[in-house]
Amino acid sequence: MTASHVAGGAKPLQFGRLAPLLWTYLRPQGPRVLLLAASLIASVGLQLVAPQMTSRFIDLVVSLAAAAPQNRLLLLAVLFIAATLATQLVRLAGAYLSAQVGWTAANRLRDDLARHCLALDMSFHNARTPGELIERIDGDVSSLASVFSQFVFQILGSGLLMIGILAVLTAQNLWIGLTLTVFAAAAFAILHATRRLGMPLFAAERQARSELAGFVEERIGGLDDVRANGGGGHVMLGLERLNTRLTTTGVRAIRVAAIYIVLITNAVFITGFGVALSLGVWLFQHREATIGQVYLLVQFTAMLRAPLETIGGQIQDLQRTMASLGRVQDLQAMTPRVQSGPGAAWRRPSPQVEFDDVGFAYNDAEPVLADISFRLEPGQSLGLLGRTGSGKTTITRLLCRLYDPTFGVIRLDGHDLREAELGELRHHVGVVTQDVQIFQASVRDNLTFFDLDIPDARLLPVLQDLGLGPWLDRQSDGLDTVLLGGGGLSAGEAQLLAFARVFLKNPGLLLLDEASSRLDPVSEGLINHALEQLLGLGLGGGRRTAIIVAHRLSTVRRVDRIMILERGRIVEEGRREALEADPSSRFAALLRAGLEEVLA
Amino acid sequence: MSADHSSARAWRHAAGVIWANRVSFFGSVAFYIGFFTLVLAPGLINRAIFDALSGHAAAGLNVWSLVGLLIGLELGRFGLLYFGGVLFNVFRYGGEALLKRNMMDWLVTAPGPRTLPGSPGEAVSRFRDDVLETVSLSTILIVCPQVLTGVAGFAIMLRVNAPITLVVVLPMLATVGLTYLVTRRIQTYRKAAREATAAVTSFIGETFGAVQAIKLAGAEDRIVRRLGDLNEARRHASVRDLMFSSTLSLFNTNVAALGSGCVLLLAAQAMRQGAFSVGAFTLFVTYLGLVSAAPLMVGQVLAVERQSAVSIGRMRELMSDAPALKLVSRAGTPVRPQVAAPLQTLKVQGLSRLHPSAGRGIQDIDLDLTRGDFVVITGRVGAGKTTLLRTLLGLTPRDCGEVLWNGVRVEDLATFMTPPRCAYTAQAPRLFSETLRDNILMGAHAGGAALTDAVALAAFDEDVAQFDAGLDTLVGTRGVTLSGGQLQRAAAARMFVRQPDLLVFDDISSALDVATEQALWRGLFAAGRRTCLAVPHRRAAFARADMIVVLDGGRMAARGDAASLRRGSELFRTIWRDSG
Repeated sequence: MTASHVAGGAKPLQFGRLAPLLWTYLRPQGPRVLLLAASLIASVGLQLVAPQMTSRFIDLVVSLAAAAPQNRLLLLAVLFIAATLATQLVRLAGAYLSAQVGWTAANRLRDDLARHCLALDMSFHNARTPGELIERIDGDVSSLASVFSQFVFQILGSGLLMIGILAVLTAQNLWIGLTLTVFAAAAFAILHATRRLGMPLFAAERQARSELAGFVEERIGGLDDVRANGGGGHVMLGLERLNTRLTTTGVRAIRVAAIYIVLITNAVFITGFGVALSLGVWLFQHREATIGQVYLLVQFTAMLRAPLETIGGQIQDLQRTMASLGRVQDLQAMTPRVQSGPGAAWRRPSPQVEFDDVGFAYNDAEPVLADISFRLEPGQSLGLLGRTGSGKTTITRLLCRLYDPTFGVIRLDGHDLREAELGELRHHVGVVTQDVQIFQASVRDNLTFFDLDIPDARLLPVLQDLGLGPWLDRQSDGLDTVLLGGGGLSAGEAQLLAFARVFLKNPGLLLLDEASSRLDPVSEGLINHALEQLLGLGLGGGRRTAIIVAHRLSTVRRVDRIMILERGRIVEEGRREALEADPSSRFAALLRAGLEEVLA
Repeated sequence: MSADHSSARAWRHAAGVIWANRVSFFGSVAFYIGFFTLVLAPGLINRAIFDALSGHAAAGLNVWSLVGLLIGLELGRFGLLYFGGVLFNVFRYGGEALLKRNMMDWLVTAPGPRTLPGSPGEAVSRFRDDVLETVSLSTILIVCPQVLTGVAGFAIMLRVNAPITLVVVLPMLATVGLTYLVTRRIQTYRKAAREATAAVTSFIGETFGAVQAIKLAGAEDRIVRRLGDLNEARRHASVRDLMFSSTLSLFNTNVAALGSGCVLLLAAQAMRQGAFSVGAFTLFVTYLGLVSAAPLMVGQVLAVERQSAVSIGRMRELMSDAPALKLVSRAGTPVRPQVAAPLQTLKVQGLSRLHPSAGRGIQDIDLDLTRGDFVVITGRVGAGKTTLLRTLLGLTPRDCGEVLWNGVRVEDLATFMTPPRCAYTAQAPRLFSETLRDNILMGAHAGGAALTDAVALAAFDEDVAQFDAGLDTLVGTRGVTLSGGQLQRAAAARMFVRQPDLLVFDDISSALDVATEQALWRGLFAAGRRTCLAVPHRRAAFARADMIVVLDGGRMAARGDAASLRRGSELFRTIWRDSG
């Protein structure tokens, strides 16, 4: 399992940490938030009015006895009904507004987080499953979404209601008001003191959940590999381990949180209720209060329970939420090591490429590349050979700045690569790798990466050139056909699609990493032809600078230069023709081996 | 599917979840029954207190002992809630685990091919949201004793004053009917909201599975915009879903509030005549809340039932043709012992498979393998090579055709074509975020020597020796910390370590350099002849093949050894020419 952070959740809970988040995401919704606040205040006001009407009603009935004017009683009853109906309407409006506010804010946060994660380094992504990121971008934010709506609506609303109730009671009788205020404050203090106890436990639960999601996503993605190799039992053991962890952490978190929220809070509250009731009875017996006022006391004290329970529940939710917030903020605090530069002028269609004593290591491990120096003139092509793991792919990754070199400098047209603006750099560098990622989206979106500005008239000729014409004709809706996770698209066709993406981009520097390895020989021939057009290979060259990583010698038969890597170092570099002609060169030896392979 | 059918199914699943976790379920039900019984106490005691205060005192209890009793019972009530709540959660997590276990178990071990309805990221939402939704139908039953409390409250009110009670309470029953009428709408809205959510999780999953491609295409902004669109669609669907259920529960609450108003209207007369005490009035107001909660609860159960029916449907979609109650079964998928003699011959007759979407696949494929044969499938992109292997392995459904193992017809390919008979390396093999050792073994019981041999046979030993942690190296998500060639050879080692009778591999050497590839082939053919069915793209493999089958447009275009095909097949000549 990947070792991800749990630490974020363990930080002490401070409401202050929420404020910037609320400000950022609620401010753009100003009018809606104000309306929400208004509905909140109206609903609290209405809830306070209704019981007072009942109290008046009882006093009227009891004290005036037969003399009570029927009209006033009826009027009170009708007003009471009107008040309760109005309360519900206001609540409905509030629920609608808070849902809209919450979803809008959460969606914007999701967008921002996704954008942020996309900018993070590959080392970040290599350590995390897509499933885990689903949980962090969607799952954690969903639990934060309640902060945007519920937190404001419920906690503030409940708080207001409590204050209102206490104020009305105090106005009626100072002693009752004060007693209940003291106890509500005590209940609050206890909630405040204990709310952080459950938080690290809820963070552990969230972490267990996201690892479970990561596990599921990965295993379902590799279902064929699991099933055809009889790995089902192994997968089930792994799932069971994660299931157990989720249950253990979840139940432990609930158990700890419930002691404080259910047991202690209620004990305090019930005691307070007892004292207030006793006080009411005592005051009535001493003719200091009417029976209607005692009724109001009981009614209001009962009403006090609801906001207190809401706040308790919300604070429990808030503990989960703060755990999620911690994880979201951890994510936001990560900065990519690869930063966009100020921008260096891209002067000509195809750049000169220079590696100056470049070395590289992934995460302080053994260096993958060392002492790499070479130069490629504009329009030249380089064939990169070497055993797997010798560092060929790393060279292409450095050139498109998926990583930056640990030592040395890479220059394009004499400018340090780090000066280039990332977007511009990647606009001018085209990469085709062995692995092709297909989205569950239309053929068009897969070709253009959701760029709506590219007209079909540009797409179709490219597909024809790459021999994908007949394939497209078979698709039921042409360019609008939705590609489903590789179903109906063979690996070879996917690779052709990747070439189409690059052809559409028309880059000045082309990096091909085992790009045609999954193609059958005939399709590869088709691609090589199209590539030769694009690169100007064998046509006197000069149109695009290119680096071609290859295992097959046929792929590099027409490049200008050859470089052979071994364990991260250059062991041979030179013009192709020269190396071919030199029988003592490694390249010549490889060519002979290739020939033997054919004869074997 | 009819509503009744799906509702019965929802209840059967709830019963299954409950039975599998019966101790925590009935334990928490017992505590909740205690809790909800005590809910009745404050109303009764309040009445006694107010009657005592206003001089209607019937019993000899004095006011102070009543206050003490009230406090004591309330404290006890929340003690019960604590234990009930903890058990409630033990049950909930247990139910979640049960559903997830059964879903995964079906996906990885059951017979028959698996066709996933969406991306793996989309499946995550079925494993998360739909599981929770389904469990909620059984958890809501735990708090159902609330309904009984409502009924008891109703009975007590009837005894106090029957006419007022009936006038006030009967309209509440209407809410149950209303809820029932709109259940279908609830289901539709909920389904739309779930689907919109799944579209979001699916897209996030795809995005971060393709993060390198997105970075290289500079498509970050466009991806985020697309995510934003999906998020907005989900907001619309979710708010609609939420507002519909809110309005419904609001209607219920309103009926209760109107009830209180009616009590005021009706009680005025009775109270002045002394037929209705202040204590009775407080009892009515307290209990109206309890009684109105009962139909609300029934309505909620109905709504949750609809929602869980939707979720069960979505989970079963992932499990394609699983038996009816597989989701809540307590035993794993029964593994039929597949006894078969070691491979002598494998015969494939008329195997056909058409992709429903793209209208292509394979048709009428015949193959003959004898122990020790090296059989090669070749053809152009999209000719059906991978489809042929996957159909033969039972990973994708076949439309027709037979597979005979030693002359005996194989019933279920998916469970039969597995170790020790068969093992497979896919064209783009997947590794998982575990150690290299766990990835290669993947549960196989192989000794250290067998593991070392498999790694060496895959020409992977030198690479492993270079890793700091050797076989204990963590390979990262989908094996990303390995190079393409290392990943392919790790997968080959995973296949070899199972020592199957038949090796099936798709393009095993696409990411290998010439020297490594030669080492791999040498190893494979050195230690006695192994039976192989392979899709290679290199002459080295063609030359060694006992039989080459050339596919064109899903049909067999030619077959024979390399020499005869070079004479007889135009298509093969092109392939041969370009494969040097």
